[in-house]
Amino acid sequence: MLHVKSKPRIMQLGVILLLIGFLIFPIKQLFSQDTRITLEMKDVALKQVLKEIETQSGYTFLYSDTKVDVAQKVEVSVQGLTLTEVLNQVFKSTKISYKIEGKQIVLTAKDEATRSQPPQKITVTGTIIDSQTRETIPGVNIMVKGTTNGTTSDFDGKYRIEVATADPILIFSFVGYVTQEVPVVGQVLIDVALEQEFTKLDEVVVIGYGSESKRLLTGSIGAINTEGIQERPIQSIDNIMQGQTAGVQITQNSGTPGAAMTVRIRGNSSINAGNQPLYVVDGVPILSGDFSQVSFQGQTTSALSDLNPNDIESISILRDASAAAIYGARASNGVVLITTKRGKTQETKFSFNAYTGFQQPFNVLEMLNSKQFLDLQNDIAVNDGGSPLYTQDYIDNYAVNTDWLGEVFRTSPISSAELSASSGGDKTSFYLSGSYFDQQGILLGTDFSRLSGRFNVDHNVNSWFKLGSSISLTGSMNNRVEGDQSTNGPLPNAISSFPTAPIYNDDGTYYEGGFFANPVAIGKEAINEARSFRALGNIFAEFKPITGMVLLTKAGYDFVNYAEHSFDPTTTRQGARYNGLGFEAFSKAANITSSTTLDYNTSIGENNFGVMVGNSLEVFDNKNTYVRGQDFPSNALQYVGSAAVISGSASSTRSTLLSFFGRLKYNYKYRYLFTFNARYDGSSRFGENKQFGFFPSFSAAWRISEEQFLADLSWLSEMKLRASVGVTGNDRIGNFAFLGLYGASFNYGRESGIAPLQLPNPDLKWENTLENNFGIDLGFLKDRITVNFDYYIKNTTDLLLDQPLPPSAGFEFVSKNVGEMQNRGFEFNISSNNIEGEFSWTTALNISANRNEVTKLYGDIDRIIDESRGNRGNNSIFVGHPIGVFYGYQWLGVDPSTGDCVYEDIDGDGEITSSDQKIIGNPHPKFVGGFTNVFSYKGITLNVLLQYTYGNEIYNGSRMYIEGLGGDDNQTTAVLRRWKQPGDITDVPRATVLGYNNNANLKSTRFIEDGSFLRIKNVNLSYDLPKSVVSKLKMSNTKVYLTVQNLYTFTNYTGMDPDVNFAGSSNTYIGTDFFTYPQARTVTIGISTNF
Amino acid sequence: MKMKAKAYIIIILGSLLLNSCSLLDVEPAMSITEETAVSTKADVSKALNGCYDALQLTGYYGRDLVAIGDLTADNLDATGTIADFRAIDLFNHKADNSIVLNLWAAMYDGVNRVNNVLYRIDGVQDMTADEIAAVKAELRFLRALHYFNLVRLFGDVPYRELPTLNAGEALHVARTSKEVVYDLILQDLDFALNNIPDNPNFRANIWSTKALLAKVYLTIQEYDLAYTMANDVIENGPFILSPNFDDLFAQEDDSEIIFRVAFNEQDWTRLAQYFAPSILGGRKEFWPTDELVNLFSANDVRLASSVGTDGQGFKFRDIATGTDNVIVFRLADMILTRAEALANTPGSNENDIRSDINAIRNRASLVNYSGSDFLSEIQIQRRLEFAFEGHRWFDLVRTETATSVLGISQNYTLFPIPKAEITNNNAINETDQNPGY
Repeated sequence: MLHVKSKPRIMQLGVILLLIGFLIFPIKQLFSQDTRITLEMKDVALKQVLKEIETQSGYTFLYSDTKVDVAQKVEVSVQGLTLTEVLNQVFKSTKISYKIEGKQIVLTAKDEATRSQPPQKITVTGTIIDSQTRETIPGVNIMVKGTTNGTTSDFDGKYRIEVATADPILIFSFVGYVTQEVPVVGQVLIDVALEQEFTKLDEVVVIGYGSESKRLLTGSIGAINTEGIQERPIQSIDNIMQGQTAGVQITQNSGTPGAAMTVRIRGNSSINAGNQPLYVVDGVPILSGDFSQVSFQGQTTSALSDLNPNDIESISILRDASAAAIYGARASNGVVLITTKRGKTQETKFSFNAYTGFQQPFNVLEMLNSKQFLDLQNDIAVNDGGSPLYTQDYIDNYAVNTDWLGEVFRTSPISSAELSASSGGDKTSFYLSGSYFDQQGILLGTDFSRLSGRFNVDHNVNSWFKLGSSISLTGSMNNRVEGDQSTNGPLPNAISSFPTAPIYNDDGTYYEGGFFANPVAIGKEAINEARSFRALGNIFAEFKPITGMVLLTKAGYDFVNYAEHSFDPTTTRQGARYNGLGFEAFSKAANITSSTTLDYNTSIGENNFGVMVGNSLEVFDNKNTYVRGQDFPSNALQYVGSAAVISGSASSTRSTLLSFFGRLKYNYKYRYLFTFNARYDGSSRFGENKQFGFFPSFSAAWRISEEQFLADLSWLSEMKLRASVGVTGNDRIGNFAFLGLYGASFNYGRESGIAPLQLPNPDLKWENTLENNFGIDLGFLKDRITVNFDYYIKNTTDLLLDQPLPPSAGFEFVSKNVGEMQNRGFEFNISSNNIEGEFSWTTALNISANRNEVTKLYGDIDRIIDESRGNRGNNSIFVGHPIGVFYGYQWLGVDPSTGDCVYEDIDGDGEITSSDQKIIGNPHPKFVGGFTNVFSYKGITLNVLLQYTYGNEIYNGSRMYIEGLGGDDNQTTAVLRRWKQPGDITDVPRATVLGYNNNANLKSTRFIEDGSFLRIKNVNLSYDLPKSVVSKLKMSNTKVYLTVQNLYTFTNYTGMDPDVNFAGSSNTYIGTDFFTYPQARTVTIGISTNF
Repeated sequence: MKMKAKAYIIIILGSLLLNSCSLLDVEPAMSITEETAVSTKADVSKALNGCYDALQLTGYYGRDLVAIGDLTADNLDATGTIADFRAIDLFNHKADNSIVLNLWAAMYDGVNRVNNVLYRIDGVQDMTADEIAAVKAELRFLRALHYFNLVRLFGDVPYRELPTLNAGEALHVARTSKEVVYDLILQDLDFALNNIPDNPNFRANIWSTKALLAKVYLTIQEYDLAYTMANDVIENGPFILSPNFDDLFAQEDDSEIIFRVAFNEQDWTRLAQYFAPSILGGRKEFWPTDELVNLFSANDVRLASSVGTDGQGFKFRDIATGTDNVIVFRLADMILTRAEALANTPGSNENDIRSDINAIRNRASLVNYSGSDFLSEIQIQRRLEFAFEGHRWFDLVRTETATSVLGISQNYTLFPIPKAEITNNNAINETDQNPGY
């Protein structure tokens, strides 16, 4: 196809044409031609008359002094006539002709006009396409320059125009594209390819079942900047999102490779149902969550770690109800929309990226050494009424001083390599990638590696029928160790083991004489391999039967096969106890989706409409098998088939979701925008009486910057007010919670038996959230600075709670939708190109604040307190407080006269009993966010991401044991400042094991710390090799880079890492550190290039 | 092209309608919906097994009922880490005691399971009337046993005879007076008497029914009827006193056992673990009182079988896999019941009483009883014979000697209604609580 490049032209004396296109902004006219003019002038130069007319009408005259005689004397007498009438009068007897164009009136000499040769009449035709997508563009405005002669391209992008001026120039213009001017020099066929013109707000953002220009969004949607993902040594997509956009709070929980992170979009909305958002990849909801069956007492795995971050093109976060309600019963926690890379129109381009580096622990607990430890033991003995156990001589000469943490932490390598190919033509385009990621964990016995490939293809069968697919295959292997709560984990045991214990016995076997199992033995000998195979893909067919209509049918398949092999040989303590203990666990999960959507966009005059209807069906299936064996004949035989005692189990579950949804969009002049979404979801999880849920939402936006009174402010490029209200649901309530059920395994006398298991609740349904959102989007200086602000209130009702029954009924609980919770907050984003030019500096700052409150439980109950041993910080639920507040005793310090802990006797009864407990802390932050700065000079770029959390409290549960001053754990060096004699003022009580020092390790404010931190999360320094050098090698965009992750953390927290939670992504047990695996500082260098 | 477009649209929209709502009916694979769970004869048999399974609950014969029978009384001390056992031992347990709740909840779980099957069995098509009656007899035996335990521990208790089908109004049942409960227990047992099938001794049969009746009558002081039943079991039943006392607990001889709760490696009881000291891998939650140990004569065969070499309670021995039996009724119990019934009936033949007492004494290698305070001797023998089998408390309470022997107030002869019941049952309030709690 002919493709005429435009040549930029300098605007000459003459006219500025306002482009009136098919779908763009109306002409801004400040004045109309209907202004009435009164003139009474005699015998004056025409020039003066013209001046007077200018003053009265506001128009300006344009003419050539030399060609138009404005010195001639004229006479005019008019009263209250229109401009046209006046002009006709004025120029009547002159030899001047006039033409009104916009705000100007062009004058030409009539002689000139008649004297010049009659121009040739040429008919020019052609087709106009988009230079990127190669699609035809209807509604393009084509004008003959210098005239009012114009036309627009039709539905097929074709135009036809008659040109009758000399040296004609055609001007092609359309909103969002760079205007082109093409001179007509004899050709009668001029095809034009227009180039898209982008400013930040013209970006297209992926929304639920579609996409929309950022300018025209009426809901609250955050977009994550995915540039430079491939240079960050991160393994999972939730790590990418940390600190990048307001409204998303991500707690990494630990440094465990492959582990799940806690992702909260606008707070926790549930107590018992899931709180993680819905993840959608290429329009298909995917499996996330933990499919592991072997418990490691702490962090859980995450199916998200199977997705390769480098394949991601864009991430949209649907935050408010208007954006998310299109996902109905799964949208209460927000939706993360991920789109993967696809082929673009271009020659085949290869892209290669590789990095390698190392990781180290950046903050390790300081534990007592042997000498300090033995001193402490002496203190304990003396304080408890005995005499010192060890002489000074013995202490000084004690040979063994094991640095357990040094033995289990290590500097470990991390590397990744990826190669991708992308190509596009008229018919077919594809994106093909393969990548390998390998991370050895900083803790002995942990590592994660992943091999993944992706093939995305699009094929245009003809102009209205397109086929395509997006397929990825991933295999990953995760070596895990027990952690957090376990007494069989390398890290907790390394923290707690005595320095006086050696690692090995004299005969080379592992020393197992301590209270805790030897951590080095566990890290080196225990085998825990989790292998995952993931196939995630979809195929689609897209039809465009008529212009503006798109019919898309898509079938998706997400298949996870998770296989765990675990074996504790007799060289570990746990293995020795059972003479070898092994597990094999297989978990197979599949999510099959099929969806069809019909989209139609059209305009009637200034009214623009968009309609979308669709339906989808999803089927989820999960089958688990689990085998356990103990008593193995040899450590070389690791599989359960060799064991003497074998037991096993298998289970299966399934759920289905049938949905109908639609969207109606309307805007007037792109100025007043309205969107209505609705979804009707039926789930197999809901009770018979509540099988289908209806989730509508409505939003409106006003682009004030388009109004006349603001249109002229050149510094304000965008000002949009938004408001939305809508309903979303949470359907993660257990697959059969509504049924009355009988269970098996009620066996007796070696015969199987069944008995009632669960009471039915036919009214059981999803948890429901009603959300209001108000937002404002601003753009200044042509979107050089953009600002977003949102305020929201989310009220969740029908929380699923286990309502207790009278025990004489034979059932303890029944599940009912009874609770209520509220989240309120604001989000603020600002990004700006501070300095542009050879040296450039851009900044992006985001701040989010969310306030959560449990507003109702069931009946008169105002609290749910779970004092199980697994709840380290005593996270509890209180009406009127955020979920998971810490509940315990108020510590008043150490009594200088006795060295014992003092607690507040709240009920004044003279004793410290369980009724002296109260709410002692809040794990939720007041603010979270990120701050990114990018500096660039010539080829060098420095990108710094800061992540911050402020106002949250952490329950440092480890200190209950490692500062508890007694018993079975080694202590931190904090105990060196323990109370030794009356009069000592300190915060560490005296050493004793009797009664644990008068309850020295009660759950109290002693262990509540400020968890605020500012972390230099990512620093990336890169250098783009000069084109001259690189093009010789036939490469382009070659860059070398250095990345440091977790460079430094500013915090007052005394534990290893403030971005912590021992219970993984639990709903209620949050903000607690309990011997948790810390994150690492990672330093990598890499190279990326295209060729 | 426009025609083609229309065709496509129609086809696709049509396919949307094909999605029918039956897609949303998903059957669980790991459990059975209650509507269909008890529909055939095979189902009934499995559900009946499930009813027996309730006896194995930790709050029932799996641990707690056996333990408190001796712990509250003077046979055992609480020596472990479970604070709620200690509270019971020392008689300062309150309504929020978790062991009390366990007992209550376990017994009522048993009641609910039985009521469920009774409710559905008449709708089963493939059973004859006789078969149905036989199953109902077993069920009613179990229900009688549950309520017998409940009423002895708690006094007036809510009587449920319908299963809990939903969380509705039927949940809230008020306390029924114990006299009425006893009447209903007797009704259940009368039906069982007439219909109960033959079964091995870990399931209900005619003899376990008669044994239970004997004990019920003894408890409500209907001594004639108690005598009749106990006598029937002794004279007509296939039981003999196990010649070697120890064999009963070493699981070598069950010729004396009338009814037991069966445990095995998959369904195990932790009683052995709770009695054993930590050297043997146990928890040492309960320990025999010195007073009890000293009460045994040196040559009493029962001493070595009841108290182990380390001094712990020794009737439950399988620490590793928990396969001990828990004996509910054995012949010795019937013999002493008959003796007690006679001793309470004026005009009974003293020789009959003596011969019963001596049967027990002789088996224990003790000489004949030479005194005449039969009631007192019977209680002493019961204490020695059934140590750690969960009888002592009930014996003391029904003979109205608990207050004097243990030095407690009358209030403590009943356990408190659990707090969870009072809070969640609208028909029972704080004011309905047993006195003293």
